[in-house]
Amino acid sequence: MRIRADGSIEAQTQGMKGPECLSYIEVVERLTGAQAVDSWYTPEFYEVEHRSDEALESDQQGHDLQQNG
Amino acid sequence: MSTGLELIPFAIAAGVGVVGRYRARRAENQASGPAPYAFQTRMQDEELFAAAVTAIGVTNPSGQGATGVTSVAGVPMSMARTDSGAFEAMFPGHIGQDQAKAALEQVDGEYARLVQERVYHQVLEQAQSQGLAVESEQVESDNSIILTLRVD
Repeated sequence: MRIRADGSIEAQTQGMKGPECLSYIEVVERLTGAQAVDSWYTPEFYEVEHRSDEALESDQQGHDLQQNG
Repeated sequence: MSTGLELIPFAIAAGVGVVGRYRARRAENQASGPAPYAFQTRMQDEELFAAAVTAIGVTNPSGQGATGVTSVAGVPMSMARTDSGAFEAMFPGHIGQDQAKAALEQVDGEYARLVQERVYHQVLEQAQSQGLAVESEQVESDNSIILTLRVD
């Protein structure tokens, strides 16, 4: 987290998958005595989603092969 | 999934600039002369405001804490809490607005520094109870403090 000289704070979770990172919004608010005024998904979110899409495609292909075989 | 957050400490009113809304405050019994006026501030913690005023070495002749009359760089300023919870800084009419804004910015700068300090110490003190450990910390050239916390 970055605690700026103007008092505002930016926090970012890293390496968390699934909704686990969302549960840390409240933790960070409690920890800093602050309220979240904005939130966004980091590029890591989209990387995970992309890998999930590929995994789904791969699973689907495997399923199709089993049915055709 | 990872997420980013922008947070504002409760000691600071969200959505208000360092020098907020202007308001003329002509007294009912004042027939002439420049009207006193007020600027909304983002400061809403009385303890931190009093500490900021003390830290920049200004006088507080009324002795009424944050709501008393204070003089910042020769500019008389009195504070009153508004319905929103934030303080409003009031100035006599003969004080120019630029002078008033400069005085207010001086107080706010110190106030913000104290908010940053409070948040920093609070994170260090409470991280463990929230299941976190401080992995690293550094101060950037803009005086931001970067804390990296690890989930234990």
